[in-house]
Amino acid sequence: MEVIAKFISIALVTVFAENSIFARGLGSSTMLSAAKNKREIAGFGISITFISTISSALSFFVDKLYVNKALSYIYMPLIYVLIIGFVYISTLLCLWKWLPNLFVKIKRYVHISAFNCAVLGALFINSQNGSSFSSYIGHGFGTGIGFLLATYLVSIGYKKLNSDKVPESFRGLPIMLIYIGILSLAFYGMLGYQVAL
Amino acid sequence: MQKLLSKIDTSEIKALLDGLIYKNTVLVSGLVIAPVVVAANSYRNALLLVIAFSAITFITIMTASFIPKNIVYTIRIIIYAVIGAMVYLPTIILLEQIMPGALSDVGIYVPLLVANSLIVVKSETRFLKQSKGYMMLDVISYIMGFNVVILIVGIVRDLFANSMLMGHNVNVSVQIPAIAAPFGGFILLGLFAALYRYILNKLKE
Repeated sequence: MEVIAKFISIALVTVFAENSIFARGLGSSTMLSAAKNKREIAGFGISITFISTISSALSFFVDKLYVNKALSYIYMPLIYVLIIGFVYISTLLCLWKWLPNLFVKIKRYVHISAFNCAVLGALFINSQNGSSFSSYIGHGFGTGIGFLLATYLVSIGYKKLNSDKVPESFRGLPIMLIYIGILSLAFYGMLGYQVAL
Repeated sequence: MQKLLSKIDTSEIKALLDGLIYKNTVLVSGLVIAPVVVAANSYRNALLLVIAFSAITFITIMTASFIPKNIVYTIRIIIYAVIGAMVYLPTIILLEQIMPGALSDVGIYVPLLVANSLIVVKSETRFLKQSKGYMMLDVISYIMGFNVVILIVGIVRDLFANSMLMGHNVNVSVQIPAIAAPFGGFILLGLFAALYRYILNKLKE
């Protein structure tokens, strides 16, 4: 019971208080690209959630082996990239074999879902703050759902922020960044303190 | 030299300025935003990210250009990220020598550069479609586009949040500490992007 409670509490904190986009800016470029197409948001979010959760689970065992050794920060990026690569390839192979229709649908953007700052960042944050297996997968799961929430919130404003009503200099990316900044300010209000880098 | 220049079309020269000016990596293309809005809250952090980003991105993309195209993209993208992670090793050793103790101030934002958008996305959609010489110049242009923006953002945030100008204490009458927070970074970058577009449009006119 305690394990489930820890998983849920860490996932909720990661989604709402320490959202990967609004609190840490992780995966902002990927999110800006995903928010343009409303039909792909769910697929994108689910892919990121799946890859970050499974990668976080695997990184727990690797961290237990290496994280306490000196200079681990030097080779951790390589190990995390290999973990994500393994999850990415395994997922694609499974989909190709058992769900070929889904494979065709997501293969266009699944590589961006795997190799982005949100997923890689989740593994680094886990190695710094994570303590138990449930906290690792809670944070991995929360990162993906937080990304999905952020992308959905940004996609709501996307059409209006790209309309002719917005002054030309601000239209598109500039006003989107300001909009994300305002949303980030709202999330920051819940956090109430500076995120440790 | 003249012979070489005559071979290059003017549109190609213009395209070489895409990353730096016309499609600026951060302000126009919206790539590699995280380090700019979160970690570049001081000049020192910005400078460290400039060195790390330049070394990791340039060496990784140039090395990636030697990977055979017949390898499927699914595998190639992993190889790109692995190369990035391997280039990261000497880069941070070098950074520790140049700026001792500074790495801890930028936290996870330096290791995250191994999978930045230029390596993961732009390499495949743009850089690796070009000839090696042209690609090298194009990659430098995109790297410079990022470097200029992050340095300006770092200097402005350092000035208004910490009253520091390139490492020196200065007397600033207006203090905006929130500009150092991630939301301040997003808003400031948005304002810079709007100002940049305004200037570009005026120049075009």
